[in-house]
Amino acid sequence: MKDILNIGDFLKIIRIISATIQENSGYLSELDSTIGDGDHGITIARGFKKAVEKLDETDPQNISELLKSTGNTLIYTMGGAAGPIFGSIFTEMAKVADGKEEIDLTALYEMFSSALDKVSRLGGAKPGDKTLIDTLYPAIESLKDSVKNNLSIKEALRQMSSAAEKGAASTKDMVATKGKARYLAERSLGYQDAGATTMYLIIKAFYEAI
Amino acid sequence: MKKLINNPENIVNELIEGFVLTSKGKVKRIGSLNVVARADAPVKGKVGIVIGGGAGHEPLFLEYIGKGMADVEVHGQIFAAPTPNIILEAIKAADGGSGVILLYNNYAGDVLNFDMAQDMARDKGIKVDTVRVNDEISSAPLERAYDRRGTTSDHIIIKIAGAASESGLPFDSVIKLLKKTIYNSRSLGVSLSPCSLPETGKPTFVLEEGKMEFGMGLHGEDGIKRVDLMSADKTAETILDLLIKDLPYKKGDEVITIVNGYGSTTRMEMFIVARRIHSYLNDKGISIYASEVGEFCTSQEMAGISITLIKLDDEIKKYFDMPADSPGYVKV
Repeated sequence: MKDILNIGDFLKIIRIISATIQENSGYLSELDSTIGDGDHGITIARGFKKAVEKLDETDPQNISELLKSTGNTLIYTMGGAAGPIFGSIFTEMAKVADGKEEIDLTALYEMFSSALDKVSRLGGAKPGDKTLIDTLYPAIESLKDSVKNNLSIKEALRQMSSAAEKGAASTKDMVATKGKARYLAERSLGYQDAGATTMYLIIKAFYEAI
Repeated sequence: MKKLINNPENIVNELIEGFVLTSKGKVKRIGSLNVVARADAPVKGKVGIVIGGGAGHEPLFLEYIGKGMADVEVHGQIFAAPTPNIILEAIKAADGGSGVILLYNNYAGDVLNFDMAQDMARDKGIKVDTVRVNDEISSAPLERAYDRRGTTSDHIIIKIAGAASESGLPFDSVIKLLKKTIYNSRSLGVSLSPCSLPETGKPTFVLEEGKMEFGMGLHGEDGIKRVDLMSADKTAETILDLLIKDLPYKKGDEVITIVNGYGSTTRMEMFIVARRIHSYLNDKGISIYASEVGEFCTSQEMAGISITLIKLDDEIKKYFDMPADSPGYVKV
């Protein structure tokens, strides 16, 4: 059973994220148009497409460089709130991965955990605010348990993906307090958050790649 | 929704190309970026004014660069804030050595991207600070005014920023003046039909026949109240009552009024609304120093209007009266 991730794994992860996001771009925009402005799918699809193109072009030689390139491309090509938020997840992971040739489960947990801290600070959102944090937080809690229980990376990512899916679905019952959807307040109830859904697709891609 | 465009991916680039070609040499593009500057930028010794935001709201912000207005504009994608690396180039293009003020609307995406760019510029030793417009009263209650979004007072705020910086007012004084002018500005709109995203062609919301919605956002964010279509007079009164209560504007105050069309509203309708604004404010003892009627901040083909009131004092009035020469706003 695989217990470390190398640069090849991360390259595969980013490619699968991009493919999944391209596939779901229409669905994500539709989610966004009910409570946002309807451009989330287009924007995030454009960002990941460029991120993969950049990786093909520059062929980064270590995990940190690969994640940093991905994050910066998202920040520099997406625009809107989603660019800095989703981009920072990857640039933050890159900082933790700096100097590491291989990532074990503990390091992966630290990377996600640091990314969560960063996006929480940037957007000022907490769990329950109907944002991607509602996906990321339970996913990382699951990852923390997996580290404690010494699970394989594959099994840890399976459980993490499942926690992320539940987290994204839980935003349906929440009232938005951040982003453009906050202007709807109570009327945002009943709709799944687009950013939380994208975060789930990203985590699912980690699982599917391994 | 039918639109006259080419490849949707090229919308912003092509609109900027057209704008620069038709502006009689008054503006220049920075490289091939979606950044446009007044022809003589950076102006040495002048506080630089950088404006910007998502595309799709033209003339905002693109057409408000020129003498007596902003120095540089950075245009995002449709309804999406521009990215920090591009904003940084706009800051550099505006830097005449006396600091640069970032003036934009208070939306989460703009704040995140402009803040990142501000940090990057400061790392390069450029003096930068930020002023955000938050005039839209339905987007948050008064006690959370810092959460309110910016809308249709923008071109006047930009005009004040341009005049003040052109007159040599120092950096901190320009910021103080802008914050005061923004505090004195309140806007609220009503929508009659939705806007659509050019990339998808789909409307961003549904508004049933015979209905109107107060407080609808510029990107189709839901408003505060959906009601049966009212007359122009009743609509103007409803909006004015909410605006007047919010600051509050008082008897004896002197204001600029703006009637803004959102994109597919006729000037006929705008003047009918403007007419009622005049009589209504007159009845309340609020005097109108200047009235502006037109499209200053649009949202694609959204139908509807917004009304803005800006309370004046001697300082604001002085800078409002100075000349401005931008493709989208001229004052002689």
